[in-house]
Amino acid sequence: MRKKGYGQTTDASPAPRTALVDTTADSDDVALPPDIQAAAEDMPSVSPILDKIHRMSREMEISPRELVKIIMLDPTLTAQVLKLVNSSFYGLACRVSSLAQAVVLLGINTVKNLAVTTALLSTVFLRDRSSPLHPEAFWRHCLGTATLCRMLARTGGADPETAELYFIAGMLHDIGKILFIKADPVRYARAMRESRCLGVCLYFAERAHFGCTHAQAGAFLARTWNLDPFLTEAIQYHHSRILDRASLVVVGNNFCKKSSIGDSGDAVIEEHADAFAMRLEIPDALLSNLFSSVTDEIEKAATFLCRTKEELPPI
Amino acid sequence: MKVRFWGVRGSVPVPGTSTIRYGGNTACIEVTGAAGECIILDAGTGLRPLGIDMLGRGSLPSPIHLLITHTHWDHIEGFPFFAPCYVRDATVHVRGPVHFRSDRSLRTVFEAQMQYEFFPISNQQLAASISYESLAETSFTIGTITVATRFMNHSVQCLGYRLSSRDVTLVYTGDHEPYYNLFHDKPEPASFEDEALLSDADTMVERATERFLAFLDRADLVIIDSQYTPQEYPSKKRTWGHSSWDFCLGWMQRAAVRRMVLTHHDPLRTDDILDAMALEISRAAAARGINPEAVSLAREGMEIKL
Repeated sequence: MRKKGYGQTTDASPAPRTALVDTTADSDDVALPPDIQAAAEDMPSVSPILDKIHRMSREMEISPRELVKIIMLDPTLTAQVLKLVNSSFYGLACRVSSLAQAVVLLGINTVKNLAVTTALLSTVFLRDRSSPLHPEAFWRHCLGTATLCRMLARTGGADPETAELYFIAGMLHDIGKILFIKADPVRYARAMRESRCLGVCLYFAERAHFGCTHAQAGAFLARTWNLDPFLTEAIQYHHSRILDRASLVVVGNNFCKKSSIGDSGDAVIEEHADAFAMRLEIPDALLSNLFSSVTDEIEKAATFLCRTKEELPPI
Repeated sequence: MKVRFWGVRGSVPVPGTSTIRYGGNTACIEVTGAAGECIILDAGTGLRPLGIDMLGRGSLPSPIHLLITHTHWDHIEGFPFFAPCYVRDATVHVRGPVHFRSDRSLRTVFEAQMQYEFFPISNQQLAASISYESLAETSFTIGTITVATRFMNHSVQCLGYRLSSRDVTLVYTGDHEPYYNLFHDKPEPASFEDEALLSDADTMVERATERFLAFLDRADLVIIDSQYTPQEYPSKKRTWGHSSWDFCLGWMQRAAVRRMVLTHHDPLRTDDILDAMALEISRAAAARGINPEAVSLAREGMEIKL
């Protein structure tokens, strides 16, 4: 019988279901371990508020009444927004005691911006005292990636709504790590140590210790929260070597690691990020120019939010 | 304090034969303090002739203080054409409202309008030493003048400036719309919750107005946005971020302001229309018991000594 060569048959040749060694962070065929699933179910969801505000701002016309009512759904968020409005950042000579007053005085756009950023930041804030990742360094990494993604998207010609989606994607890309830390901080510390000693990507160590990567766990969470499909995709593929619409997050993530903006717990710089930057035609000079804007934004957020453990809402 | 108007138009410059008497340049006001302090309120297209004029006066004042109410085009587009920016040794200190996001900060916006797609010379290439400072509600001094700031009601964060020297006070609002209950966006309240929100907001509006009036309180001169007529404002222009002159007269009385200059004229107003409006406003002022001579429409070149 003549041996069939490649390309000569329409039969689907049975591809191996899994490679011997999975070197990607994001393959779909992984069953999430039960402890990670439980941690995901335990996470306070940001989706109702973020998703609503985002959907409304996408329609560009969010009514003041709607905005206030959405924020009021979350008493913690309401308190945080009021705190920011009363902070020295605006230096208001009067005390603002209600969201209605904040909208009257500062306008709907300011209040909307404050609410979205606060809601996002509180999602990536590690509340676990035994966290092996430094909470502040971690949210700096997330905010840095978010800011950079938004700026890159804007300079690449994306419309404002898409740029906002990239901001959220950057902010949430590492959210899977929070699940691991929630599930077992000691084991996560071990994974971090191992990745550092061996100089391998953190997700390799995660897979060895938890049975899945933070990209997979994060994507699971995003699906549970019913987030925009693009966000799920960006979270799942932020270590991917395939160039697609999530690649901007790969570039942003690695730039922050390279420039020591915050700490993601993973010191390995992925070389394909540079190749992506080239393929996406992002000039080197642009990235280095954006550095100061990104750090400015983080410093401002840091002083602006004055986040300390005591001020954090209970979960 | 001496005040001179270099641009009195809102929205967009309107050169042409029908805007000769009032002028077609956008927002720019020069204030000279008793000790020679140089303060410029807004950098609309009026900043261009002002810059040229300044070069002709001999030595440039140093530093030049540019106080920007907000970064809408009609308030910043004169900056790339401000001659002192191209003079080595000149120092320009630009101040304006803070923005929550650094990609919208004062410096970013000023740099962005001079990106190569829009302008051949970049902000970094300007010969003068230029610095930027974002302001919250605060107060600071420029020579003998104390400057206080307040957020106004506009579609983007906008700061009003109150300039006080030993015996005189000048307030410039930049763009400002009367506070109103913006939760009245549906014909009737849909729920009990809505009802609570609406009544809360009514109180807030009154408080915000009081706060605004306290900022104008007993000023010798208030230069104020009155882009619209009382007929236009409530029906068509609400939420656009500007006032109409009937509101201005009301505030003038409530805050015991001595003199008021109405500015930021709508680009549709020709000289003849503005003349007719001036007449209507002075009659309305008299009817309210305000001295009609204390209210005037801003014109390019107009000077007021305080």
